[in-house]
Amino acid sequence: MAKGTTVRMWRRVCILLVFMAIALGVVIFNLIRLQIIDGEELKRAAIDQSLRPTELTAQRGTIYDCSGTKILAKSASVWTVALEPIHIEEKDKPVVARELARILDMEEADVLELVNKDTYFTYVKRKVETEIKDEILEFEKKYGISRGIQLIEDYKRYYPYGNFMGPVLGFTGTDSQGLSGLEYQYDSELSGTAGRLVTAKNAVGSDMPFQYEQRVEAEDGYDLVLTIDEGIQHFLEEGLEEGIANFNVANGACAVAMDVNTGAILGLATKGDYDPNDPWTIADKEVQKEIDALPEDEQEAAISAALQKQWRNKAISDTYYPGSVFKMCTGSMALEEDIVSEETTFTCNHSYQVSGTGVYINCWSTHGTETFVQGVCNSCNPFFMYLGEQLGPSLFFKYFEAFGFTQKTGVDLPGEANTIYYTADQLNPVELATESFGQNFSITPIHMLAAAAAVANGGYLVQPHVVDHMLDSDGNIVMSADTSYKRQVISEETSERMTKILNQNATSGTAQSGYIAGYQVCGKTGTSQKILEDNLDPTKKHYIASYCGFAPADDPQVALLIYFDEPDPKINYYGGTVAGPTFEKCMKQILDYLGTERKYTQEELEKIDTTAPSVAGQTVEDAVKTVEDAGLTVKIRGDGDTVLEQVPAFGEELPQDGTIVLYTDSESTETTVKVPNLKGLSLSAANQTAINAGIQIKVTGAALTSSSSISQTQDIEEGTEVKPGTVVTVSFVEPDQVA
Amino acid sequence: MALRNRTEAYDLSLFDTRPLTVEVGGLPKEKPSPKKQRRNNVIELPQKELDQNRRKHPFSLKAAAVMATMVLMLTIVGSIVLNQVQLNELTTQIAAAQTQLAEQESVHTQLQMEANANMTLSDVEEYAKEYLDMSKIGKSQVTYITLTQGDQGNVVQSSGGESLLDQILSFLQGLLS
Repeated sequence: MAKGTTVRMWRRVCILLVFMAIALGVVIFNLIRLQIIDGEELKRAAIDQSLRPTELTAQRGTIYDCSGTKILAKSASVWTVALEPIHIEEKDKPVVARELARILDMEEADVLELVNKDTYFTYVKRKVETEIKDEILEFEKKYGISRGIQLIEDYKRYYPYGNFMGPVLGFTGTDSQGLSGLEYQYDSELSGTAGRLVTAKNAVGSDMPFQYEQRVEAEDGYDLVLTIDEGIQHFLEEGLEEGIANFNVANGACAVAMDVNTGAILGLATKGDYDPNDPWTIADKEVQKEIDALPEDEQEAAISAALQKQWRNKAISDTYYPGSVFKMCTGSMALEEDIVSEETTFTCNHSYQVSGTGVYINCWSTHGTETFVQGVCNSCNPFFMYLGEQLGPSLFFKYFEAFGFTQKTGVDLPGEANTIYYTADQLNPVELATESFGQNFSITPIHMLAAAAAVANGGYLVQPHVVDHMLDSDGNIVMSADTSYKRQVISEETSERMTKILNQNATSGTAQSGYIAGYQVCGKTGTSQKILEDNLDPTKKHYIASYCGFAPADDPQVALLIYFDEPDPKINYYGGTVAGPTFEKCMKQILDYLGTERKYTQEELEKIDTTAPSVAGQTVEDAVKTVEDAGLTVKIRGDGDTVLEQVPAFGEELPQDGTIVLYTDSESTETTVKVPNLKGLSLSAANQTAINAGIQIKVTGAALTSSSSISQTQDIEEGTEVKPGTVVTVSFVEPDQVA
Repeated sequence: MALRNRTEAYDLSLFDTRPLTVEVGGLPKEKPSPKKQRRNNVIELPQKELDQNRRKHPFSLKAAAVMATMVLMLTIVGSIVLNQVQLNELTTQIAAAQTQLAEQESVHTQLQMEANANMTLSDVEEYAKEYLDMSKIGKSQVTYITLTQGDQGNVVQSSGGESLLDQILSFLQGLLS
């Protein structure tokens, strides 16, 4: 019996079992709590602790010109330099300031101030290139600086051609968001969608691949392919710069070229513009100087106003009285409604009394009795006031609306201005009379160009647009511009008739300054007064000089509007004189560039310029024969037997009876002459002046169709040293027809 | 007392059932020791079996299987670990290469933009004129052909008609097309 378990032993076993049951219960309870009650929360906490999400940045789309290959805007990753001043050792601070200032091209004192800050983080310079980053890394290595300088990956938008197309392209902000121009208009399409990569990290923060890894790829932004052609844009920008310099234009200028059949904008230039790479700097140095001279408390507002002004796209955001350019619309309305025909006559007595009122409105000249065609060519205001009256407010406004002047054109650029106009009910006789010749209502240049395109293309109002199509990152087209027309405003017959009249206007009327031999240009000049500015500053007159036209007349392809805001009235302010030569130069370059065939009339063929044959390297005897065979005159300079150089060079244009100067020895090639002043002269006087100076001239503009024209501009400045025989291009305008 | 030298509190063996046999002479017969009993239990194996047992045993199959399983397990575990290490290493390398690629692409874009900035149309035009003696395309480089009303194009057609077979073939081709 003594070998069996005793009662005491049983008690002990029971106590032990109770303890074990309690312990097990605690374990089970905790297990339930951890797994079931708090399970989800703890699981989430564990995942949060081990998983690290990383944003996969979407690349901003690229902007191309119409060729689809020329990059106008593109993004690339760059670096932002920041400091953690608190982690920089005291002994390193001077060297960090010195070296960073050197590498980042900053003032050492400025960097030292940042380095000495008692903060954990401060920016030094944003968006620096990889080359700079490498230099900073080298510097850190060289001086053994391991903490305190941070290089943070960032994105930068590049605009490789600087201010080329600046106001059209716009610019982006520090977070790569579009702030202006196309960058703003198409921001959501260009931005794309950021992706996300979620991975597990181990205790030291390294990736644990393939565990919980979830990847949502970033969708890069769409690329934009514009309708704008880099070449045409270049011609427009160059032409505007030249015009601004020639006429001391105070408030900038714009030029828009459009495909009349599709509404595709081929070029859109605005001056003064800015460099989208550096949009926050005032591009106009003169304006900056004026601001610097202001009291400090006024500078901020002045800077803001100057920046807003330079970012403004004048072709879209500025409104103006179109002036006589609008007469092509009034004329079309009258032709369409059979109120007038080409032969209808009207007598202009200089002053016109608006019927039913005692108000007299003057014409810029006295034209006497004239046909409708002559009225257009004379840009006769009374004739058009008369047409307005004949149309009446209701019919006039119907066409005004149909031409699209009461709504925004809907061009795909931001900031399009609303037009200001009188409705049919508001058009009392005086308002109707003034609107008939393009005054008293405000539209944007793009409105006027769209209306001109409608006059040219058979009466169809097209949708102006800048983006031709959008591509995804795989090159698939995801959007194409709608090139269908909005409505037909006038009939094809009216369009053809008006085109012929405008062609005549550019050949022998007030728009002769835009004439181009062989291209059958149609055009209309416009000069509008800025009444508001005149009231604000009565010390001088403020004008807008414009020229709007299209070509070729037999199959219109391109419409072009040139607009100069406030040319110096002391030089000239008429559309024909100020904007005409720029129109002629740009339109000629555009049509040449597009390969449009010239069709010369017999009269034009007689005046057409010829090109210099190649004689350099030939013996003098052979060269003389070649030149004479081409119908040109020869002048030989030097005593050599071989032609070392020729002026004009091979392929350069010169008049049919021009001279080629052959240089036969090295001494003769060093001879130069000075270009004389060729402005303000008649054709014969300009010719004589050129001959006296040992150069020759090539004429453009009104001189080709009129004998009373005077020279307006010359492409080589007075006083420039050139070789004898050099050809200077001189543009002529008709002094009596400059409205 | 003999009990003082014992470790047990009680000598329970005293209560065991004893054999009733008593040796003559009054003294109990000496109890045979257990060792001797076990020795007596030894089983004598036959010589043949003894010889067999004496022979050297070959490595047993069971042990080999266990060993092989263990080696296999170790190999699998080892290769998993090794693969994981390699995978991590390669992933790190790929990530580094991708970063480098992205950086180089950015450098490419930066340089491309810099190059483009030096190739504006104005610069190209100036260089072409000044250094390459080039000129813009002009009418002298374009040859226009004038077609007068007298110019005509003749389309040559075969004079003979199609044979019956050709007509059937054409008809069938027309149906099939």
